[in-house]
Amino acid sequence: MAAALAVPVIIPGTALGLNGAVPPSGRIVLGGIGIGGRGTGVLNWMLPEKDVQFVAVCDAKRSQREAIKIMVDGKYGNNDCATFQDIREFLAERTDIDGVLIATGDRWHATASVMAMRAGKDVYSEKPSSMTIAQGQAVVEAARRYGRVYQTGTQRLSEANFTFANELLRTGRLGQVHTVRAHIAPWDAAEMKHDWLPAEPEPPKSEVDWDQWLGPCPWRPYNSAYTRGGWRGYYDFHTSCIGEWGAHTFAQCQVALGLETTSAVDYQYVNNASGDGMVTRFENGVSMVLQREGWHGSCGVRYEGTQGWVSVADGYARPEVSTAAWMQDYTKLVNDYIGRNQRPMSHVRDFFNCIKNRRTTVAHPVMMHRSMSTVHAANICMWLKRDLKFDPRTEEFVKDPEANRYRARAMRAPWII
Amino acid sequence: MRKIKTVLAAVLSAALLLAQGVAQNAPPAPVRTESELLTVLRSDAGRKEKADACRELAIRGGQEAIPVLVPMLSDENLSHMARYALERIPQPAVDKALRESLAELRGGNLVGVIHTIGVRKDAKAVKPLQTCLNSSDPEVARAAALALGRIGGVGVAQAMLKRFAGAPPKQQLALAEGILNCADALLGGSQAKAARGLFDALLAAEAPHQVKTAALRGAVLARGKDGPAFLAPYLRADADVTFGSALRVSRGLAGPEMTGVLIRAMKDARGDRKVLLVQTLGMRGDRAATPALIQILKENDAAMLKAAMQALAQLEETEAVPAIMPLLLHPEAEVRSTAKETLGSLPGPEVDAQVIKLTTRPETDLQIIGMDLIVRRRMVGALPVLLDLARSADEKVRLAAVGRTGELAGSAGAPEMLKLLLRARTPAEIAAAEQGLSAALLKAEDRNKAAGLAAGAWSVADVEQKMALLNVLASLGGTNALQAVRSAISSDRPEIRSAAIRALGAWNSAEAAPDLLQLAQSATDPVEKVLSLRSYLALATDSDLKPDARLDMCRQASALIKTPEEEKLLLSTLGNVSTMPALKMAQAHLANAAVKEEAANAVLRIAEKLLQARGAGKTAKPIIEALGSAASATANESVKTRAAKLQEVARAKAQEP
Repeated sequence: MAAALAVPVIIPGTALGLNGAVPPSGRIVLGGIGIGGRGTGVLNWMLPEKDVQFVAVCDAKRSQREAIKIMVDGKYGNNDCATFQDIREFLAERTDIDGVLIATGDRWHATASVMAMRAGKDVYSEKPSSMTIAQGQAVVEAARRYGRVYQTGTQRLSEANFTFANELLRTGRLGQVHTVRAHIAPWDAAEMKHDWLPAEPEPPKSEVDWDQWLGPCPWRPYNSAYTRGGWRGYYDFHTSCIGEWGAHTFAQCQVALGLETTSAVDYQYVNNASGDGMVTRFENGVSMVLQREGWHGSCGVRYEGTQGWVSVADGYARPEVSTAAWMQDYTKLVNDYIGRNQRPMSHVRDFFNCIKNRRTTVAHPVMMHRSMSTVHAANICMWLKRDLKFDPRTEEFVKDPEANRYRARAMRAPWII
Repeated sequence: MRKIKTVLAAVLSAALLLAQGVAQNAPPAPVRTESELLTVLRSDAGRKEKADACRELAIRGGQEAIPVLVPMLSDENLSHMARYALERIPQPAVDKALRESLAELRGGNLVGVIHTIGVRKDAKAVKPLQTCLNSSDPEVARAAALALGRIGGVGVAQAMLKRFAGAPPKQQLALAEGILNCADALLGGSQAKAARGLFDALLAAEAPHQVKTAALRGAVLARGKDGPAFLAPYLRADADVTFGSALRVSRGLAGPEMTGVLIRAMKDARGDRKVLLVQTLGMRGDRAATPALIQILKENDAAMLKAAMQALAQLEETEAVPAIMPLLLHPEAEVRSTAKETLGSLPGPEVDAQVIKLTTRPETDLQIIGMDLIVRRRMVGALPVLLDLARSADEKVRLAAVGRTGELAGSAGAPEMLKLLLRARTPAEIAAAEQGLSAALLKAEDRNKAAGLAAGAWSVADVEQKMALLNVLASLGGTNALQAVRSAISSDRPEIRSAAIRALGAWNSAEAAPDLLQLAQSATDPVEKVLSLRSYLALATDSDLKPDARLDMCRQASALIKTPEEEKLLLSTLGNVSTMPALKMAQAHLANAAVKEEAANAVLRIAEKLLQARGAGKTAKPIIEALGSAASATANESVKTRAAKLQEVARAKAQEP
């Protein structure tokens, strides 16, 4: 595989945070917001990058921010990683920070992204990167307005197997593509929980700042299980089994089809708990089917055309194809993609390159918002238990006031954007 | 009796399936009417029940819900959920009620209502919101600026602009957002002149860099066709941050005017900025930039050459091929490799023809680059060209052609590659043929069958060729390959036996592990015994194996260890196994002075991974204990410090509620 072509260090990232002052090195100064298990994994991809210096972490939970500090200090052999409890103080005080990794739970991704971009930071946000259509719009607007680099964590857009599948489609080998299939998480349901776990005594703010942990979401009593990852499956905090993997797979499908700046227009309700088998349709007539099974790995996609198909998921040594001879072109197609687009096969590296040359990332805000709008619309279809039509131009459901009300949720003060 | 049991089991299974089916397709919970939901809100129901009712009213609430929800706005516990419903109810009565509530509310409740008024874009609320801009509560003032920005209007923006310069930093960002929101709306609403005034004012003000970037973008867009010319001086600004903003803005402007401005900006720019300008020309996709980019290829600045070639690749500009060709022999390696990659990715048969011509050039290096490009571009039609070159009198060309033929031909070309291997005599020829054969066979759909082809040549191969075949078999894996290597292990030639053991150690999966363990246990030759053990431990690092399987391999190896060096190797492998039993096993080696440092390192590596796992608090105690033992055993101060830090993490995890 050809290595990513080097991007010169031209505008030292730190200069952006210091209003023009050029620091001695061209490193990118990075901070983190809400780095838990998944975030630690992403940070482990980021820390080896030689032009990146991680300097501070912000988390509502003390044990988590301390754990990241120890990890980072251990990596650098110093004691310099600063810790913050309050995201507002973190963003206001650390004007030296160029970019932030946001890996909170789903409930905070968009709000933190908008706050960070308005504060002049570039953003790498974990997925699903919005809870509602309105949140996605706010992310797009903040990135556009302030000229910020934003990458959503759909890292398969920077992986060779998935790139190969997309290139098979782009180069016409599959013929006329009529159907794509997107893996949704084979656990949980589309309908989410509204119940509250039993109240536990709220810890001191210095241990767990519960108000900030909840952020813009409705208040509920503290229970430690939420803060240990037990927030999944709750309507206030999660985007359901459809969003859990659909955030990846819908994005994969839409990018492959060249439809990353629009959303599906038709949603056909299916009478089951998960949305498995739901057929959505794009304006050009291509169907995207939500599918729980059919791959032997996670986050799979399958593209079907008049000349053949390709199927790929995590853990595949190589994609499965209807025509074995296509695999001979694997390296060529991936390298052609790299050469034509100047994109590395590393999602975090693409983010850092774009911080330096101010280019739009491979998983850019519009792509995130439009593919997540498809996720949200599919969820709303399941919640309302009826077929829906969505107009991507107005970003409204057609003649369905109830569905339109689901496009936004009031934010809890003071966590407004 | 058995029959009864079978029937009973069938009935129970059916009942279970039925129950599951019911659960999966349960009739939807009845949707509560607005009236039922309002009854909950009017009752003394708890906070949870009322919050749930508000959530449903957000979707189905109407006029009747408004008077019930509005009084809740001042309730500390329910204010947000009242807004949650009201914000989504379209009736204008909501706006009136929210406006009227402003004077009564304080703190978070007031902040929330201001925000909701902004989301609803209630133009009648401008006056009271402007009053809120002066609030002594910074959150109220911030919320007011954001809300006014959403409502929009020239007057609103001017009012915020007046406050901008003297505002404290936290409010300044909100004011900027408000002004920019107004200005963008004016721009979108064909009031470009008014918008331009606002953008220009912010551009001239003292403001954070991101606000300046936003203002610059707006100021350029508001000038329409004159935008590129307005942007030009910013591309020459002294401050990097201004240049960066201008560059970003230029990417969003299509058309040859902007392309011309970017090309002209290169003239006086310093070197690093020139590179970014060139990259921008590539990213914008305007082929009007082609002549300027081709002109750069005649210069001799390595960074510029690379950037120009990459930009031409993005433009898919095949006209540039003749200008790129000479750069294949440029003195700078990075320029050469970029030239090669660019030629590799540019599409079209004209480029294919130019590549084939390269293989006929007198320079050996160019011939080899031509062969590489044939493979890179997957020019299967050029296979005869490679086969011809495989018979070249020039050894360098011949060897290169053998390897490339294997890569391009795929499994169909494997018999030809095998013949080349069996004809090869010198170590270099054998290595090239081995590489080509591996490349060809690895592309086979049935690798087991492919291994059969390689193994079939065993009897006619000489010793060196056999050693090459063993490497090929190791890369293929599978039962046929394993069987062939097992036969080699019983060879009476020690060099073949050693090569076979090494091949097992380099196997592409852990399927060769049992063979290596057996050899490590039973080999009579001490060298082969050690080699087998080391190869066995090498396989135990296979990340496809589950941690328990890796631990089991470590345990098996442990029983065979004789020397401290082997024990160190074991500990190095064990450090990759993140389980509690692995931690205990590593801990047990701390007492051995000869390996205590490696043992301490393994303990720390395992502990670190265990502490990152979900639910680590439950096992924190033994982890703290193991880290303490490691810290006591090691003489290395940095290991002691790391152990102490990890103990802190473990203690914090243990205390987690």
